[in-house]
Amino acid sequence: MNGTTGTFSRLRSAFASSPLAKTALVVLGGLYLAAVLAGWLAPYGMDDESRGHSWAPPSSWHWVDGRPSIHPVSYTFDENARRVYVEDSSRAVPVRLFVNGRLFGLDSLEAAATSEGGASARLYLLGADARGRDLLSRLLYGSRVSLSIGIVGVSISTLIALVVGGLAGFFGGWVDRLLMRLCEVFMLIPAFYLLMLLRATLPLDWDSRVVYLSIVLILSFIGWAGLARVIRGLVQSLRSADYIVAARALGVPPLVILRRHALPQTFGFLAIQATLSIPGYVVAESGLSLLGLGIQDPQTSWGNLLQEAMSIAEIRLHPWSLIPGLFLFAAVLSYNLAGDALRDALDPRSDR
Amino acid sequence: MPRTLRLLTILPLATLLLSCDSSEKGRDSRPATAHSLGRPGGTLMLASWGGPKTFNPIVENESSSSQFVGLMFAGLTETDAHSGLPKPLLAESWTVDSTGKVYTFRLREGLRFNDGSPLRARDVVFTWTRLAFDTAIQCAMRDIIAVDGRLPEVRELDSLTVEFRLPTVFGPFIAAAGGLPVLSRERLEKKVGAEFNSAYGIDTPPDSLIGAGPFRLARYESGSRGVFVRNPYWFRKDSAGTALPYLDTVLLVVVQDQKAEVLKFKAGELDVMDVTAQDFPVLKPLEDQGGFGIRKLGPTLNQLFVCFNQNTGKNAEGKPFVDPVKLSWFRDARFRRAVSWALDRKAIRDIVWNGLGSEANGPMSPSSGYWWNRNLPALHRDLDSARAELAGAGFVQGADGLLRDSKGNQVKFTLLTNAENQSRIDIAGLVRKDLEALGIQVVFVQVEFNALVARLDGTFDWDAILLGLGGGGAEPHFGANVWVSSGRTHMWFPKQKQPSTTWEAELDSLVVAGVTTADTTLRKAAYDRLQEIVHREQPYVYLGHPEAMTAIRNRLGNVDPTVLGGALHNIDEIFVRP
Amino acid sequence: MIPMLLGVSIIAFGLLSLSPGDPLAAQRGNPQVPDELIRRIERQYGFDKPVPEQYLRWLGRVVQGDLGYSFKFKRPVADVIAERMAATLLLALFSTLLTWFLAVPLGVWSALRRSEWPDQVVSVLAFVGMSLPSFFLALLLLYGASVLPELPLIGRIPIGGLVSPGFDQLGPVARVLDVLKHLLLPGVVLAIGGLAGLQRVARGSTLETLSQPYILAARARGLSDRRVLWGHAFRNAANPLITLLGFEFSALLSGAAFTEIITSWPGMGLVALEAVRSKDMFLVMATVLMGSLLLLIGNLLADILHAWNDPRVKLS
Repeated sequence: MNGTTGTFSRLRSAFASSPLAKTALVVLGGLYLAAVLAGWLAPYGMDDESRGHSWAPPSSWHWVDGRPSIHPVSYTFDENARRVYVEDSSRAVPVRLFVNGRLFGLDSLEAAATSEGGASARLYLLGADARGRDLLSRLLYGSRVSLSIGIVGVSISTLIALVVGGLAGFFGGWVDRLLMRLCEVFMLIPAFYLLMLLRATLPLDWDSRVVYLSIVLILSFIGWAGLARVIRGLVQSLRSADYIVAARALGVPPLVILRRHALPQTFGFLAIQATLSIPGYVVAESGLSLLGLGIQDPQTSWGNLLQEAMSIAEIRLHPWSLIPGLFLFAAVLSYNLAGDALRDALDPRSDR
Repeated sequence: MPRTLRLLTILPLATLLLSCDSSEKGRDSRPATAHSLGRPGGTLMLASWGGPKTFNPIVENESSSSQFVGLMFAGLTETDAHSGLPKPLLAESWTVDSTGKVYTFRLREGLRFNDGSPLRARDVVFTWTRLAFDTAIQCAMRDIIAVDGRLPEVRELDSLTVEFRLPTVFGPFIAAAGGLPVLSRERLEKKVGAEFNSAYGIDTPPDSLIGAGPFRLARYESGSRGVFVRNPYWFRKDSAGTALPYLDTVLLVVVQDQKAEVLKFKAGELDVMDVTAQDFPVLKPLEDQGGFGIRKLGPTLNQLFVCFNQNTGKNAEGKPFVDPVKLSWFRDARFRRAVSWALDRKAIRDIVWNGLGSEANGPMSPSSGYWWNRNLPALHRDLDSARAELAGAGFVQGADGLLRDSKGNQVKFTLLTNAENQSRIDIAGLVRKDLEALGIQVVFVQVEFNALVARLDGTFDWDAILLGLGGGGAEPHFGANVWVSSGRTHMWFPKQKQPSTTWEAELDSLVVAGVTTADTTLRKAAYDRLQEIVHREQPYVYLGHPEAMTAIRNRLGNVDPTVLGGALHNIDEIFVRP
Repeated sequence: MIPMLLGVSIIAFGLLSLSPGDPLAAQRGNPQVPDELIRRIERQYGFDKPVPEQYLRWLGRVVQGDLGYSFKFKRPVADVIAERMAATLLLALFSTLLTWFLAVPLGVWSALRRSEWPDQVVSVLAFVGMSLPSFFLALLLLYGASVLPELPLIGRIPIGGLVSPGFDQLGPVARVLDVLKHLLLPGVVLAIGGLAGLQRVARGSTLETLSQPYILAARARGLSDRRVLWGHAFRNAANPLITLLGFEFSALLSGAAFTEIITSWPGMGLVALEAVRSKDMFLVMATVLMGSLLLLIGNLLADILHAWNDPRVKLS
């Protein structure tokens, strides 16, 4: 492990020398900023539905009086029971900036009027879902869950690993044997099956915050075992280090040595390890939600949104439901690129 | 087991359609004169979901086996695919005496099993007394027609006449009993007792499966398909005297799920398939290219509803199953009616079923035929009526928009549904939004179907549930367990010792009234009244029925699909056009 | 190995019994099914017993080779597992081969053109492949296959399942081709996911080998680059890859689940999901145990390959 200052300068130079890694950082920053500002960036609320706009396609833009506007739309079923949307071109509602306390959107008064045919105006940059909720808005709100769950999950699983690995490595003996066997057993259950099993034990019928937390817990439970083994190895090698031996000789209680001296030595390694494993958590959450086992309506996440694309037959009728996957992809790619640069910077043997 | 016995299984909607779908692929038939003359020959390819578990028609009790069994075996009567009432099959006619307890069935002359041996009254008596009534044999039919454990006496009057003496009047006796397949005494005499439970398993050599159905099994390739050929001894002929069935071969192809069935149908590997409202927009444009047509049959029989927990019981630790505050709302009919008025059933049809469906106002679908009470008023979204009901019950919507009861408690509850099915989730979302307009806060939660049932039938700790009941079939008594207050599937308050309300007591007595007379008109009156009470009390807030639809290849003739009978009730008349 | 599997089974059984519900939901919800019948089934399968006893009963049967009965599939668990395991192994094998055929040449190529455009393009593409979540890639391909049925190649790719509807009527050669066609979509999805890692290892070890003195010497002797590469460098570079094989195979076990589910590949992942959802106890236990066993075997395989391949082991 390098010293802290050295690490930072290596980091900076690694990112500076790689345009890809820099771009990745910018993309990630943008995504997280958007997640934080979702309430302001999104033109509609997370659960703001419009039943007359079921599966409305992305709005088409028109220039009316020199301003970008959209026409009210309404649908009828054709003989195939597919929705056919028609625009009422006699009316145009301008898209405004800084409206309704949001960055952009339709003025709610201007949009409220309904045309004779029942058409009303809604701004759908990326299309709508079955209940006429704006996909873009839901994407933005969903990014809060999707992007935070990785960080929170990694933190919890690192914490578990620290405790288990620290105890095992420091005390050795039967504690070590017991804990390590436990780790091995957990590592032996293929992650997907463990995910399924854990999910089955938590019925998730509480409010959305508890659901979020329990999903984080499930995800953390998958990753801790491998990490705990590594930490145990590190702590074990530290145990014989001179200063620890000295502290023991001075009569400092073992847990204090562990907490104050041994574990902090592993932090550098943990930081990298954590960053590298975040995308795994992001994908796992999306996968769970995609199968209907994760975040539940009306709360949303990228995986939950992708659920709408699960029926092959239906993707053809509204392909925009695949868009959340692109966001997921962008986030994971950025994490991987940034993580790679990080690894290169901190691993002296790496070759670049 | 006859098709009519399998109604009202609570299943996720997709599976529900499955069970409804496969059970409808039974073997009912109509008088041959109703249809055009066909041409012998040809093959019909159908799907079987999951494949059969057994070929034993007495112990068989699940739908995937019943398709196989239904082609090979036949009973005394069958269910009319249009009215839902019983009509003759192997029995040419029947009579009931004035006490309503003695039924006499007269068999057609010259009936034969598919091995050519004659089918006579003694085979009927054997099937009932030695097989169905033997407690060592698992037969659900026995439990249904037994009254206090007492069973009818069955005896042969002459070689064509059988008499059933019931211990007490049992209104739906023919519907319940007529479908029990008649088996060969000669062949099975030595296989009675517990041994019979494992007889006729799926590895039975096909030529020892002796039944009187329109087809017989030529071979079964385990887990893959069953090949059926026409039974040359089938009794029915068309009006020109040609022996039925027209078809030479029926293939039952095993598919794992609906997705696989659709793929096979598209690939031309299946001739008939039920179509869901979700699949319709994708399949309809393929009609010309695929040489098939999709027929709309009317609302399905499936019931889809929101139910509130009215259980006043306590668990082992003495804690009430339902929070007493919530319980007081749920047990108030005005609250339930307000919820019912607030629901936008049209939106469910348009958004979830692509406009293919109808709104529901009671426990029976308009497709239920004779038993449906057509006089119940429709339930449209009417927020004023909803608010009036709430005000009458002391609920107040505050300035913050939230609804509170007369003691100031905010109205908030959890709505459960099963997670397996996207359309349920969409429906629950609509319900939640609808109730938001009244200031009611709904927390929507999806759980696995099994976890859901564990609460319904075990821990009873739930507020409200969005669920479907289905299966299909006409005879209303077979769903009575849902209405009887002591029933296990009396979902809002199961297994009551005494009915907890007067209207539940009335439902109990109506169920008894519906079964203790053999007079169909009196029975109908009882079930009409039952539907009225349910409409008034709203223990189940019914939401709607998706449209039943069937895709049929154009080359098939005489296919007459109905919601009650499915597409194949007259399979012996179906033919392949040249 | 046995104690480990025991541990796995205890954890799995414990978690499973913590979750609500049992496999009899369909019967319980059916007004037709008498209470007595339900109690009889409960007794028959011991669902009325305390959890530890249920576990021991299950264990006792498993030791005798009886995996139990699947309520969902209405067949013995062993039959279901055998069928699904075969499908998963087939898929894993196919996608591993595909990954190798793509990754090793790409890795060697980018090592040879180190820091030139091919190296950079390949590494970016590898990152893209690695970052595409398998389920999203599968959805994209499914969408592609469903909107482009007119195209000569993509349109022919079957979407979902193991074999075509008319499989039974096909000849032996056509059957193999049919399965291969169905393998293509899930196989490609998995291969793309695994490509990046393997390509990087191949690149790294090629680079390392190329800097070895004997390669330099060979080059100095005037051997052509091609001879040097394929005669010496490639063989040595492949060594670390071989040890990866076992790990990769076991990683595919859990990695393949999502792909299986989206592409309806009837393998272990799909069956695990269905089993857990319907709380089909014995089937869940069997899938978890089989999954762990495969993982164990994969790790063992990796160890053996590693030992077999380690130059120190060879020298001794």
